[in-house]
Amino acid sequence: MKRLVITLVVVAMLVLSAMPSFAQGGHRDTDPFWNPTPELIESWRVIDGVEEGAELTFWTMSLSPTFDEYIQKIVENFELTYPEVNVTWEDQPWDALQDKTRNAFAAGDPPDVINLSPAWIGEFAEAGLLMDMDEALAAYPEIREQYSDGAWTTQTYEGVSYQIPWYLGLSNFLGYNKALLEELGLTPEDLPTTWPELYEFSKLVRENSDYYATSLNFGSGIELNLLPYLLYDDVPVYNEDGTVGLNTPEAAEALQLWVNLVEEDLIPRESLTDDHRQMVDRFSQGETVIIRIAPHMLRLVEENNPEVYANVGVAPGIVGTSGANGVDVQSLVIPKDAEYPNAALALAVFVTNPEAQAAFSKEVGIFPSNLLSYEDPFFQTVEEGNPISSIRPLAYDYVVNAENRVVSFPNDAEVQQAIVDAQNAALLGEKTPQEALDDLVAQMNELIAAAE
Amino acid sequence: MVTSTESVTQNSTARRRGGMSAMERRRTITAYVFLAPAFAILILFLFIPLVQVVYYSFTDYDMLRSPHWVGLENYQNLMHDDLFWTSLKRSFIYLSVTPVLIVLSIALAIIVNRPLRGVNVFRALYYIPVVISAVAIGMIFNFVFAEPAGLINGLLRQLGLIDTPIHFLTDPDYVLPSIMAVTIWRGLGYYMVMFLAGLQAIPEELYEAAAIDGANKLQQHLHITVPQLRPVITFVAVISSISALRAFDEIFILTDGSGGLLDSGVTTMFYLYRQAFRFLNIGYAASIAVVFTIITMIFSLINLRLLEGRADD
Repeated sequence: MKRLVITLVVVAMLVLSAMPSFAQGGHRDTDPFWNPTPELIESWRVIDGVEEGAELTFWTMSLSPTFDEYIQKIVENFELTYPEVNVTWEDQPWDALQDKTRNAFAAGDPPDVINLSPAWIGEFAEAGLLMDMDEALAAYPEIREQYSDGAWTTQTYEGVSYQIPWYLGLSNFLGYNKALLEELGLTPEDLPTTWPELYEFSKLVRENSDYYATSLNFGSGIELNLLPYLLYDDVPVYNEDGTVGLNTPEAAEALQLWVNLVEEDLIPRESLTDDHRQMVDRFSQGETVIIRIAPHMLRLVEENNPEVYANVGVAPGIVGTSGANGVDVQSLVIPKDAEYPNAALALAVFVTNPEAQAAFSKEVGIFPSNLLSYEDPFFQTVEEGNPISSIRPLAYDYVVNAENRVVSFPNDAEVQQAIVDAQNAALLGEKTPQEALDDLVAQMNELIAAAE
Repeated sequence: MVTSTESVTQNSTARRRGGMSAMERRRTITAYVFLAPAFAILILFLFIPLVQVVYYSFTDYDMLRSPHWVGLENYQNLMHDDLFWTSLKRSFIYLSVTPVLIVLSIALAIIVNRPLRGVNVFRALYYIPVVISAVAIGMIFNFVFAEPAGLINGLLRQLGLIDTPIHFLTDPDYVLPSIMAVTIWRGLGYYMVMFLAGLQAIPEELYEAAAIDGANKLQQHLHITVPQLRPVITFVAVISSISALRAFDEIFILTDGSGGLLDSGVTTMFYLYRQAFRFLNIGYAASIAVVFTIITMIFSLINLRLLEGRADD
């Protein structure tokens, strides 16, 4: 009996951990994606010239086994829509996908549609290996219009988009611990919405308690990164003469704010090396009052500490002087020399169609890049005890107004390393912010010139 | 006409000339046949890649496009690369784990060489760090080094020995020593086993004779144990030096792949990894690999000569 109980507990844990935290349950019965009519299937067929007998390979990133049913349904519905095409789906672990993609291209046998992180797209675009999506969908403007501009331009290379945006993480929100806020005599209206407000809020919390207002995930400069921080603070990337122009006085002032947060012990020193997961752990342990987080990541707080999760509220996030938000995008790319380019494009467009993306949002707390998905009433529903659902009514405006300001550079990996080094030099007091930015700009101009 | 005697003589002559009888030839061929698969694997996975690396070191290659011959340009750039020379210095600093490992491993081996009840449990416990996965080590030491209340900081603060936490991984000056400490922790059990085997080969009569002559324990270890262990010490010194020069796992795991704040943990191997797999400068990384291999070989030869020279003394 004891062994049976232990076995059942283990099985329950396995099942529960495989279930998306925010699955609605029962939605599949009425959802058009799961029950497509012939008319709907017909409406999904939007790409012309799809190659007869095409055999496509579709790589996704760490979606199996949790989303096996969903992706298999994608493949099933696609093959109903385009019966002349056969799709083989392969899921790859996220930490191996970049290398596997490189190796596949090097071997001359890349998959036909690849789910990549936008940060990885630049190197393949620079090598001329990817399909130009601006050009590919120029013949289908009505399809291109469906996508959020901010998501579409999330990672351009020399002004061109080489990806179709798939699902989005709306990362710029604040999770806050209601209990700690109350303990400090504060209300959600006191929460910061800009970086200077965050600085003042942090000082207030430290002066009145042993808590930290927040921790940050600098991740040694790789996670919370200087470049997007400056760009969303209206610092221009380039000067008029085409050289890099990130060393303005405003940029130095913005960087000084981060330096002050570290030097004045307003954030835990380990923020310098913490990644997102560690930042979530601190919030889950009740060490910090607020956390900059994509709401769907609150499931980690729920896993770590249900007691803290029960007290979590969600508020708008910290924005720069531009007031703009970026979005975290998962992208689909197609090799330029794909054997079946039209079929591959058809698959990428199908995966990101309104019904498919709305259905995905009902499986897990991510959001569609396709603006038509938001016509589904699901995005107006808020559920008691589910903090992520509180942002559903806000999601459409967030996505439609999202701006991508981050650019890729030639020699991008080395440029990014130079940015990380400059950020750390300033945060650790090795250089003043202005010195760090001046050196950075000189180095970036050198690296870009070397690539050209 | 050839007689049978002449025929035998001719055959003997032929054997002396050719050097092998038919049976010897068959044996030799059989030996080569058995060696061939292993040699084929060595050629495929060692010698060909070695030649490729040397070739790539003379090219500009990013894996996504064909290699482009640039001659000595990578080597010339390497000579002026400050971070390469800094990383090389750090690699040699990392060598200081070797003497620490040797001393501590010998001490540990001496301790567990006693016929005490339960000593096998301790021997196993000391070996556990050797077999722990790199991921587990990262998790363990994130807790050990955590501030303000990780294992070390928490304990020292409880004892009142420190007021502010030690920034093991968030102060560039402490990053490399912290990582080196993990390397020592991981290697202790491995080298302890080697020294333990060496200790057990030392005749007990030597210690008895020394005791009769009035030598205390320390003198016995200095004048008997250490000299008797010299071949093992030489071996451990060479392999642990090479391992230290090639250190990568601990650096990658404890710095989350960044190399540490301000590149404070970047040794030559890590720099090579960054150039090859982050920047895709395969050609430049290959030149680093070639130069570093030559340096490592020279160092190992010098190391071996010095240690063997002392042994002859």
